[in-house]
Amino acid sequence: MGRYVVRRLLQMVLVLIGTTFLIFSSVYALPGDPFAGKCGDRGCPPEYVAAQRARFGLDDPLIVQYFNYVKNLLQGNFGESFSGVTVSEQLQQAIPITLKLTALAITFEIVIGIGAGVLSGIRRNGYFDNVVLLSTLVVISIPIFVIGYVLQFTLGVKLGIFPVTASDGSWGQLILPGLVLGSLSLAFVSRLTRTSLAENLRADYVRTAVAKGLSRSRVIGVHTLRNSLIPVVTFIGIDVGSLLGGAIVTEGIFNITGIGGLTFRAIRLKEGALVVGVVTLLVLVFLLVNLLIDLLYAVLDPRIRYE
Amino acid sequence: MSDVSASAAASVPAAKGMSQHDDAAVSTPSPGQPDEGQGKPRSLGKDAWLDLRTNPIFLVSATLIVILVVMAAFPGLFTSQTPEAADLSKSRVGPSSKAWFGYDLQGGDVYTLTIYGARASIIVGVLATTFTLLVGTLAGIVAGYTGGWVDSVVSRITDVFFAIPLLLGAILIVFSFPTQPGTPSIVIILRVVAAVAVLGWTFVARIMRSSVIQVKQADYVQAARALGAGPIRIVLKHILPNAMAPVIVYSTIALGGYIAVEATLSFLGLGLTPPVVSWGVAISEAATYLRVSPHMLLFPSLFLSITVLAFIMLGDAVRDALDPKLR
Repeated sequence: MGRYVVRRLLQMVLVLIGTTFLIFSSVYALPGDPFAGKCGDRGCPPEYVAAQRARFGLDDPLIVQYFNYVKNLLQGNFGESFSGVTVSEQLQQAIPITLKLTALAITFEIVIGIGAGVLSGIRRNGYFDNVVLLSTLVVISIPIFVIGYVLQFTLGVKLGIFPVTASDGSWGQLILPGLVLGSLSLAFVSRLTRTSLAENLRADYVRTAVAKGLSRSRVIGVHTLRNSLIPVVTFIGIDVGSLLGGAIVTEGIFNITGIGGLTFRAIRLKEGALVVGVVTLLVLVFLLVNLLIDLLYAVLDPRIRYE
Repeated sequence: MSDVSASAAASVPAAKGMSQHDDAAVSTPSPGQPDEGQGKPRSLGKDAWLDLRTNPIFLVSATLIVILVVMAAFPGLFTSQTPEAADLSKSRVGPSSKAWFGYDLQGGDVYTLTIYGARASIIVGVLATTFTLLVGTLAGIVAGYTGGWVDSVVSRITDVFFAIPLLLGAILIVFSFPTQPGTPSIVIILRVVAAVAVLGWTFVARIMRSSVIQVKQADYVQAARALGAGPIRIVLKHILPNAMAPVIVYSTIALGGYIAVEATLSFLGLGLTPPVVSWGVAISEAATYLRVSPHMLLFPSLFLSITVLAFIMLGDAVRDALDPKLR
């Protein structure tokens, strides 16, 4: 177990280095001048541009710039954007909101997704099963921003149940955006749970549990569900990455000032330090969550050993 | 010809081709039956095809896809108007008997634009799927078949791309290739394909790798190796055909997903841009006017959803046909 974790952490370092380098070099390759349009209509004086380029080391070779960036990063310094605000300051403002949003989305996935999956998996081909299959198919096939706009319009503007925008990022305001963000994965989770549960219900150990005279809720809740959750948990882990990235769309619709908007602006303004900082953090969260999930397998299925 | 004579003919090797032909010509056959008694092995692909042919979900989705492809190839068959035609005096006029889908902001016919929009979406979906399938399969086979340090290197490279959120990476790539007003449509489309495909292949590579590792253990692979087959022959003749099933299923479903990603990128103003006519462009324009003229949003997104749905259903049907466990 200990050795497994160490090996995974070492792999994670490699992946982090690769990802940051990839992102760093693609930001470096972005066309356009970061100082274009910074000084109003007349353009920046060449002395200013030269001084700024020297300050941020923009004329060094890519490898040197990357090396300096990583050196600063290891000291906890995310660098500074061209307007003089430190990246960590901007991240501190944006990250809590996006994390809240993602947490809500994952909560919806787990509660509604697994709930619906279990209910439809127990009675395959029953009425509820067909409702779940059909509604998840509809959700999967509609692009997320259409869902977002339609829900915002109907539930927010017309019926007034939810706030239309979530500009201050309180939990109450984020409920609807969280549901929108999680809707696609919610559909996948309930389908995965359903298939996995229905498959395991035919397993020998379930028959044994029923034969022992255990109650139905215990057979399904403890014996079957626990074993059926492995693919579901794997999916949720991988999904964390796409939720964090997909937040761009949801945040745009509901006017949330999170990571998504920040990254979008940063890429457009060629704020290399900011883009790489955000992506590094997102990738780190993604990798850690997936390591945790791999360790969770042993909890769900004690037969799994790590070596 | 009846089923009985078809099965009788099938037992004579020389008539094999003919019997297959007959089998296909019977309109409502019971495909499993005729061959069952004589123990003639069928290939996995043929087995799956026989299963698919009677699956209503497959028939519905395949019909939808054929219609969409025809729509993409020959939009003129469905409408006599051109997508460029617009009459500003009809801006945002709702559906009527003259224009069933209504008019968009510029006064263009939404029906015509929706028909012409199929082409860009289908091209993006097909090209992105082809690219991810080629690169992902190659990476998966190399990693899975070779094993050892090669596997480690390829897997880590896959991890690097896998860890970057798809949408974020796609935005970066689109920004790396800016377009000018005069850029031809195909370049704009290829840019989106690249944005989706550069990060999308990792899923295929992961699925392929685990599938190859599973197949590699099989007895027939050992037998082929014992008979002196080279690695390329083993991979092409024995491993690839048997390991492709999960990848094919995934790719079919992903094709619909890529079309949705294109729409999302267009929504952010980064995917396809006019002059390309696409559902994503139409939807993102219509989203602003959802409160006053919902018809502008409804029809393009309906077509988009039906397309995505058709590919998901096709993937589901193919999975059911290829997976003997579910029978």
